[in-house]
Amino acid sequence: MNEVYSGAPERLVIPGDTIEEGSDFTAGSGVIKIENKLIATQLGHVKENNGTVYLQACNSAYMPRSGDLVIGFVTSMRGNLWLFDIGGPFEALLPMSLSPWNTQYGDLEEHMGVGDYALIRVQEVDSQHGVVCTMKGIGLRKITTGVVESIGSNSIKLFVGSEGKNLQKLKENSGCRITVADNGKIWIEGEDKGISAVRDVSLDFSNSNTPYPNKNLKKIFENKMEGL
Amino acid sequence: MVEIVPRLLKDQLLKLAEKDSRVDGRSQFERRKVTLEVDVLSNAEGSAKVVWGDTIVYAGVKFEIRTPWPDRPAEGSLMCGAELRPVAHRKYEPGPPSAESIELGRVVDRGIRESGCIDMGELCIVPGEKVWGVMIDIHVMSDRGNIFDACALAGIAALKTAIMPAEKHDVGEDCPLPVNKIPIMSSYRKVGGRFVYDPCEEEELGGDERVHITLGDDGHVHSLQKGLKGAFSTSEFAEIFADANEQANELRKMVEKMVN
Amino acid sequence: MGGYGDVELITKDGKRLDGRLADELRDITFEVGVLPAARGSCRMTWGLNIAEVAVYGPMEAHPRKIQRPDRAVLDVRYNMAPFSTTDRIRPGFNRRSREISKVTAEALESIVMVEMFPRSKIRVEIEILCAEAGTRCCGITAAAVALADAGIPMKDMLVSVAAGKINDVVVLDLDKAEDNYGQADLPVGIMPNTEELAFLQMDGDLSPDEFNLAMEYNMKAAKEIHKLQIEALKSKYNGGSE
Repeated sequence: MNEVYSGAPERLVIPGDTIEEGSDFTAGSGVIKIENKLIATQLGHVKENNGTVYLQACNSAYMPRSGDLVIGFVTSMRGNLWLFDIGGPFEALLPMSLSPWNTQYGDLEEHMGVGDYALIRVQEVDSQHGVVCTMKGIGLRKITTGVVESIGSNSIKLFVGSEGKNLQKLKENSGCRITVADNGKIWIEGEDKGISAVRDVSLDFSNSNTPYPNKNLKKIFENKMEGL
Repeated sequence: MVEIVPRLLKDQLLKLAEKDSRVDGRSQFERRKVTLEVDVLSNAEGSAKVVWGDTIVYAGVKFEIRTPWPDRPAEGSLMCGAELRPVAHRKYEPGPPSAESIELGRVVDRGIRESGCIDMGELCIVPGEKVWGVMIDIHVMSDRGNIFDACALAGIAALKTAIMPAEKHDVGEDCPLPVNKIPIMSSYRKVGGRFVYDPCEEEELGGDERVHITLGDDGHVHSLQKGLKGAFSTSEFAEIFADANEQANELRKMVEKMVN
Repeated sequence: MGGYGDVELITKDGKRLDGRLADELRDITFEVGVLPAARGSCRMTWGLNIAEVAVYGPMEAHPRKIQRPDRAVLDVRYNMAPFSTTDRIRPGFNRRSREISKVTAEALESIVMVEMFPRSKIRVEIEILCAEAGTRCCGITAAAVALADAGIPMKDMLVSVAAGKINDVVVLDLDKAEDNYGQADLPVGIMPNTEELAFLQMDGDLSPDEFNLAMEYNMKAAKEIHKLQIEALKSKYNGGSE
């Protein structure tokens, strides 16, 4: 059981696997503690940080958390609210009062309508997973140019790289502005050629039948990055 | 379920079309990778699996012996069904067959039936008493664009490799179902202002009018279906028609290989 | 269940019609991630059975009336394709499929951590492409793998398998002929790590000793099948952590 904590290759576990027995470690994300045993609840790699054992899940639904930067599109409007698809189980609400505009009731469409993308932030998630977002904040805005791609919330770390090295390299080589959102969407702006280059690299993530982490995807991505 | 079309997607598709480009890097009339397998379902008398890009469909042929319709005493029957079930995509919510599901069934049925690839007279066993009923069912397992062509291909491949279970029903020896031609469907979608062949998921979402053309071995047209509002010019159509011929020839060869 | 009649399904030396011994399983394979449109998926072959399962969600539970404020709803659909059986099945409402969908949902509820997703639903779409006895067990076992592939949190995996009786002999994993002419059928759903039973059904006639032997066969088989589930899931991702 100690292989996890001694620098050995990280253990891949599936739901129901016992990670550790009789331990003092606390159960983090993807792990539950039953009668002193730490049990995995997802397919993922075991990690440990400061006494908490958690899983880096191979695949998981995006669950919005307060503070997340997200890219979504408007699915409908109700009263003084826009409803957004941000890739979570539920639609997120953006009330008019948390938008940069000073609109009259019913004038929502003038500023943003069904099908428009926006960069917004999750303000609050209630116990029932209801999500409220805000567009008041630096950089938050309606997206009108460029391209939005999906890389999956699991792949963000790989895509960005340690200390943002990969992302930096992508930006330099393509000459594009790239915004990576916490819900696994990326916004690419720039010259057509640059956008194509970034899309080419991210397409493997969005099309992959086997979401990261898997060794093939990692290798493909690393090769493409080297080729840039 | 109504899918929202993001405005950015429409803009992007328009831009790509202007540069003669497509969202997945293909050229205007380029097909995604297609693999065809037959004899994949042991309880069906004929079967095929088509993997078309990331779209996956199965087709199964079943036979029954029945009494003929009184006004056609020496003819058998052909029935084509296609199901678009919730398994195929998140957007297909459970419930009664959707409009898309029904349309899929009708378009595929028409493509096969109107080609006359099966002579109903050859399905007669004892005139006035016993005839063969051929039933083909197409099951979409993954919809990532262009299920029409995938279903049509699976359907004809399953029929072409089907064996009539005469021995089981005591009416003679097992023999291949006589299918005298191989109709192939090609689908085109107007994306960003121009027609492209074999639309992928994003092109279907952000695209406009579409047309499905089924061609027989001799280049004859067996069925045409145009969907959604909008019109296209005669020159556009001529271009599409010429391409459909090429696609059909290639895909037909794929089916013929399976027969041997 | 038909009567046992004069059909000899197992010889005196314990060989069944397909050559298996009393406690042997048919061949089983798992393939993970086979349906590109789904969040998670699994293809399972069990003897001649073929099941493909897709998982979608968690997503908002619609219509409102099925929503539960404190947990997710498991929306399971078990369906047999028209060409899956010897005689074609007409598409449409099917009582048997409805019952199996319900039983499957209840079995999966023992393992899926539904409290994590209030007001949501998780769709499990089970399609039987080829049926040869034991499709309900096949569907449940494949569904557990598809859910794991989708990353839906679960307390354990789930394996479903059945034992029965033919010609007065208890056997594991009835095939079609044995199912038709057998004397008993005992399908179970087992959580392999805790050995708890997530579901249990029984038809026919078994003495207490026969029942125990049937359960013993089921438990042992469940462990074997679980190993195959693990292998299939891990082979997709091994070596990929960062």
